[in-house]
Amino acid sequence: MKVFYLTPQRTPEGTYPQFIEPVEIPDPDRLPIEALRPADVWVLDLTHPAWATSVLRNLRTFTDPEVYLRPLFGFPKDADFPDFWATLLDGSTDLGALPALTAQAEKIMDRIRRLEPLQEEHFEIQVLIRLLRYLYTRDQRLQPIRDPSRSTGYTYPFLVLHFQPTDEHRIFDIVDLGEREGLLQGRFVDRFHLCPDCYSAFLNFRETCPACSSADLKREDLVHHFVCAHVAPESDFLQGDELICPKCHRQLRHIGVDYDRPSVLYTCRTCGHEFQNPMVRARCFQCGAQHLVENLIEKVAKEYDITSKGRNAALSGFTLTLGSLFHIEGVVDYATFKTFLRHEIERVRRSQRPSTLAYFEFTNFEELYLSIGDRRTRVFEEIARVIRENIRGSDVLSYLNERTLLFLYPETPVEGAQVALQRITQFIHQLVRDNFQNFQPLLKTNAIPIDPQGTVESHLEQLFKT
Amino acid sequence: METLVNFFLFWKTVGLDRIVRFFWYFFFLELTRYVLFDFAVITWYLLQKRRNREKYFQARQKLYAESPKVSVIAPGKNEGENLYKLARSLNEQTYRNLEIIIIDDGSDDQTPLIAQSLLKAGLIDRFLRNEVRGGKASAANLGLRFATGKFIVHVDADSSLDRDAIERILIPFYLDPCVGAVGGNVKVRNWRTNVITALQAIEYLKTISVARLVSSMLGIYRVVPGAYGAFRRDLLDQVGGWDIGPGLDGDITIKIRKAHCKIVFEPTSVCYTRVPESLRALTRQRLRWYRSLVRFRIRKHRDIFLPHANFRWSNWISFAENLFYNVVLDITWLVYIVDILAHFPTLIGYILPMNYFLYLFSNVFQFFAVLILSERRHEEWKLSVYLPLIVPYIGLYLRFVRTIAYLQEIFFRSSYKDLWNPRKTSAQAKAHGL
Ligand SMILES: [Zn+2]
Ligand SMILES: [Zn+2]
Ligand SMILES: [Zn+2]
Repeated sequence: MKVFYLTPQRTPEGTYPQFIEPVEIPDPDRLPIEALRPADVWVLDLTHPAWATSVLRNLRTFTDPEVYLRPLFGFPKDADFPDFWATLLDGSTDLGALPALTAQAEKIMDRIRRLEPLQEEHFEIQVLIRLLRYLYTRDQRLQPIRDPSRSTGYTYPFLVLHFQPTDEHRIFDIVDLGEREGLLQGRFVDRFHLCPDCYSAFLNFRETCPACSSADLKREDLVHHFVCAHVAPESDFLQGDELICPKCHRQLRHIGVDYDRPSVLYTCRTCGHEFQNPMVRARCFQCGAQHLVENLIEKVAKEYDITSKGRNAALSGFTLTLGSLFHIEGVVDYATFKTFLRHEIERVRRSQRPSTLAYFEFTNFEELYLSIGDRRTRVFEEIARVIRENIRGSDVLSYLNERTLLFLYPETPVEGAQVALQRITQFIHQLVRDNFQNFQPLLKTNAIPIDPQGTVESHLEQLFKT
Repeated sequence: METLVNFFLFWKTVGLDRIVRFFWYFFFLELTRYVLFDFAVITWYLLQKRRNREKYFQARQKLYAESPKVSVIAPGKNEGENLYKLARSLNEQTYRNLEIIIIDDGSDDQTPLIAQSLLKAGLIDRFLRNEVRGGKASAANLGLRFATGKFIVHVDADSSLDRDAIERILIPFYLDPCVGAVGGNVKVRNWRTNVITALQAIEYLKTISVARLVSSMLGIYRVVPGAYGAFRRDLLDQVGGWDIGPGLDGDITIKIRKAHCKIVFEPTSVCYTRVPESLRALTRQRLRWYRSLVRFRIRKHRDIFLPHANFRWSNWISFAENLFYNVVLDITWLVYIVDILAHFPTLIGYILPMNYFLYLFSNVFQFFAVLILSERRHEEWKLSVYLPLIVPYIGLYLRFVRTIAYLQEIFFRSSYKDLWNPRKTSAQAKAHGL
């Protein structure tokens, strides 16, 4: 096994074990990638942390999976290296102990070789797949890291490297997308808040005046004198050290017997407002804006495991649903589709002109996808073309999951929609029959008329029932 | 059938002198006070109202020209589910310059959450809370401490108001600057629930609508009802707000009387409230009310009867009338029963049914008076089917509960044991003889 030792300056010959070849990298922003490729494993010199973190960043964000996924160990084992960066290494080791890590490195290299070229063009999805691949090649769990040097407080080191400092919060969109698509399985770690203006987690929470937002509050107990039922702030009762009731002039002697303190009163020193329930507001250290807690962005930091579907996506470089896969113009997301459907039901109720709701499911789509290899691009382009040809500009198309498309055909009777659906299924059967003898596509379709009395839910239920 | 014929034949043969002898209680005490007298006063009221229409209009103009801030304070415990109705009715008021304050006296249910959401929705202006229950008076005083209005309207949290109620309860302050407090007309919201609530509805119409109007006209109006009343804020501050209850509504009225201010009843300002729906709950409520009469009139404020610097005849009469028609009449009624049993034991079968008819006749007449005054005649007319039951309800049930309550309070001071107040405050009140 070939091991390269990446170091800012070469030390005299002979200080390295035989199987280690030192590579001098004076400028971390100009990595000699081609010179590094021949190695199976890289070992990074951690004795110059600033240099080492720059190299680490540049390697782990490199486009080529052979580079950004390459096994990378740190040296020396006990180096003082920030946690954030340490999670991007496959471990720290002493050079002498390196051979023991060979198996681990072999496994990673083996998995890298099985990866297919990346299909996605969309930046977020690319980053998601890079993450899936990183986790897959290492059988790793994605852990949120608390890092006071990051504006979001919690961060995912591998992900955050791909974003500008002002965009770091987008890492949470990436993992959310992964979880939504069933590629990642999240587990709660913590809940935290971000400034809605600048996404900073550095917030100062304090009780403020509901009237003027000032944090300059005086807190005082209310006193209840039992015998005369007088209730007032403690200061009304205080005469020197004694508590004297301003209503009945008796002295208050024993808490619980002749008086108590049933609640608390706040007075705003800025505007004089008196109140019992201060509002907790957060001031952002970053941008200075002040917000009510309920207006902050609430995020959940989770740790994520890659799912089997996620592993498939890592291998294939392919994540998303049929809809986005086919790059069909005007595909709307499921929530929007339901809104369209609701309006359509209302429209039918008024106009009495028939409309149709339909779906198309390619049940064993994943099987096809995994079995067709190189020809997949062409096949999918063909399928996309026939779907495009069979919808009009006024039709609404959405996807329920990666194998189910939903169609809304305004002012079209069921028969019309069925013709369109039939054309699509016939074409797919034809296409598959011509190309893959051993594959039997399982296609399901159904079309129902829009019922002016029904709800969105009842329509969808009806649609999938038959 | 035969007994009915006998019954009529019997009364046909009896002379007027004998009838008066048999029914002296009814003729001298019931008929005079509740029928003849009431009718005279109501007629007077209606005539005056017509004559004062112009004055009333001017007072209303004055109210709106000044448009003073009015604080509505609503104390209660575990009243969450009723708060929404109350807040809605307050937001519907024709009089707009309101400050709505809900005071939660140590609720242990969803009330704080409900009130907070009302606050957030802008339906109320302030929500105050005693984390530890302190009793109704302390909750009302807490509200008073935060109220900024020139007038304070006190409503129970389980009540709600007609949309012109606040406007109408404020006008008396502008009709006569000597007015210190105005009592509203409390009616029963849940009268449809069962017989018990329907009977209370009739009772409220009779006593609160008519009897209070009469006593108000006479200047001896006793109680600004706890469920709904308005006060001048400066006066409340002067008398130190509410004192420990039960019966704090009567108590604060007395304190305002002692401060030489007029207290009037406004029959056109209507508040709906929930009344007890079971006999058990009703009995418990009434025992509490009647005990407080002894506790506050006979004990705490007995100085009203004594000649001293602050002495006033109107106060004296107000107290005396109250005591007479409650305590003394209860005893006289017993005397009447004993009298009949002792002297005419054989005629009981004739005298008792006749008494029933006489009382029924009196109640029908009073109910008629109520309908004349009421703004919702068509609705309240439906209550008349319950009238036959009102005689045993008022004549037997209430009288019985009342007598028990008086005896309990006179001999055992039971009101201090009532858990309506927290134990700690009752202990202090008792220790100081309040
Ligand atoms: Zn303030
Ligand atoms: Zn006191
Ligand atoms: Zn900010």
